[in-house]
Amino acid sequence: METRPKNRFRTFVIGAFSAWLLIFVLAPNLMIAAVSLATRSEERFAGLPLSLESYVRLFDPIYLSVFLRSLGMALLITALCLVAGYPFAYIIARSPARLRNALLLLTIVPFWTNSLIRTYAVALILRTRGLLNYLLVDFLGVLDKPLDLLYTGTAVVAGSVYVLLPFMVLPLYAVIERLDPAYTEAGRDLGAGRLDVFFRIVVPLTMPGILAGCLLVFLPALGLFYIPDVLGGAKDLFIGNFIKNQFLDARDWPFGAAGSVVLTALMAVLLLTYYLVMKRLGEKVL
Amino acid sequence: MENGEKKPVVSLSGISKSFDGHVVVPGIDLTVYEGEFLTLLGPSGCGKTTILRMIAGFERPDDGDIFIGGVRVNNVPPNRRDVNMVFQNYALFPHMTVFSNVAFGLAMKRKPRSEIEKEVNHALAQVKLSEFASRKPRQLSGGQQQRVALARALVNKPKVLLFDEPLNALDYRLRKEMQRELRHLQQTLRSTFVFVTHDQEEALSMSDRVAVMREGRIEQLGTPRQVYEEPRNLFVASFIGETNVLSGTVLDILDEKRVLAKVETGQCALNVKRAFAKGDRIRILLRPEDLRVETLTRAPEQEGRLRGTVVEKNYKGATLDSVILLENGTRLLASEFFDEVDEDFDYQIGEKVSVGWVSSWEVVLGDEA
Repeated sequence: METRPKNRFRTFVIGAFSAWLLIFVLAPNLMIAAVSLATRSEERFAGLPLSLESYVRLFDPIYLSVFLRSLGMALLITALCLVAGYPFAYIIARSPARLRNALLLLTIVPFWTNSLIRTYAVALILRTRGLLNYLLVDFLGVLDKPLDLLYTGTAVVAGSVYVLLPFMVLPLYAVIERLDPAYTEAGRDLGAGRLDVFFRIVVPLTMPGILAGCLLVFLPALGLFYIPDVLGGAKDLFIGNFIKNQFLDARDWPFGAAGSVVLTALMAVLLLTYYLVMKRLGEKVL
Repeated sequence: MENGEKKPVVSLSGISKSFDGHVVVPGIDLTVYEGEFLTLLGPSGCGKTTILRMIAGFERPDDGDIFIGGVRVNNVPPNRRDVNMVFQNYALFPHMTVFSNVAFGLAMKRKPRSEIEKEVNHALAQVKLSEFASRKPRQLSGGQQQRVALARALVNKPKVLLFDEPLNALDYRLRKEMQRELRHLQQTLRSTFVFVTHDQEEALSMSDRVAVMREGRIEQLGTPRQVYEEPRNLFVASFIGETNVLSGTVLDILDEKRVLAKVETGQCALNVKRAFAKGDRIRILLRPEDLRVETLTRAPEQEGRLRGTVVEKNYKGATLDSVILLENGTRLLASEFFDEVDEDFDYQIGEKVSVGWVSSWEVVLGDEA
């Protein structure tokens, strides 16, 4: 029978994957959690005695404001990705088959370049003597003097939206592509104009993709640190920067670990909510 | 024309449509009259669905005009056309309850809530689904979903209801039941139905008129009886029901309505509807149930009958279907009813028989058809 080698292969793949998750996902997270309960130590980064002090320090209004700022930023980035990504995904999904594959490829190609490098590329475009200002001032002559774009909140948002957009477009594309055109036709047939069809039929039916896309953008947006560094000039502190700073600059591992644990817990809560909502929608979770 | 005094509801005039350079509808005229059940019947790809979609407004004709209620609607979008469609797979909105599905059209017309509730409940009662109003479509059986789709369309009281092969997904018994119900509903409401199907039995049993289509053209438009009993050409004859096609040559003109012809292996007098000349090649169409078979031992050979051998027989309950091989190799299918005259006739395989038919039930066509 053919099943024996197949089963052995399956056991191997599942085993390797489980080992990977154990070693590179579960273990580091447990270590982070353990460190968050330790106290700062000059020679060994973290040491005894165990304490909850790092968590208590997080409740300082300064850190709360970092947290709220990050949350607001992530929400804004997610909203912009949704507004930009939905029409994008819709157009791709409704294009003729050959064009569709080309457009999908163009969406995915940037993934092949490291996002840090792409962020520096955005910086090159946005800086005072960058491509955008060259275009606006020297080439088109629309403006008299260059815009100060780099090292602003706008640059951080624009760069984040650029880097995270594919995470929104791909799940949206998947649901829109599967949407039977008969639903929109039935809507039109029953007297609905284009707006009614969109908001009463297309949006509810693509809700699983909307939720998945928002989650896939919101979670990384919450933890971003290099985009605020490179494009924002590290002027504003976000959760991601805070954690990075504690580990690399302040060398306060327990404090950074505590921030990391809180962020992970928040993401877990969001994922759980997503799972429950999708179950209520009667959809298969991703 | 029998529909002469009736009011046209939908008129297509010189409609043509191509997709990617491929002509689907080459230019047709069709009028649907108020209160009639018109069926577009044809094999898949014959353009019948495209015609329906052009009436609904989902496709624009390349050429020609569409009128609904006397108004040219070529540039009217589907949501402003007074027609509603029952889709092939129903296209019920899966995120809405049965009630909301049926209410959708009225809600789009911004009707007051109380009126919507009354109309929707009435429509659901019409399709016997009142107690399912709060269910989601996926909690219903195929037949029930079909009824919701029907209620969702008729609650809007459109000028015309369009049906795109809506019974395809149902099993045989349910399908028969829905056919009867649809026909009954159409007659009670006196509404106008345009129905698309590839099932000739369905078309014959439900319709007031049937348009038999091939490659975007209407081959014949008439009552079910007309298209069955007087098919205009071979395509119509063979698409609708089983048909024996015999070939022959006109030998002599007997009078205006009768010719003497050589038919397969014999000679017979044929009733004709049009003029033929001596020597014309003809085709004679005979339905299996029009044939009369006699064993040569029981009835000696008569003039005008064709001799052959029984090569197959199938007991069908009400009929005995037999295949008879004529001496020249042509095969005929005969379907004879057991009746009070002959309760238990039977043939032996290999038995010599003669085949005749009820005089004047034959349809004679020219060779070109």
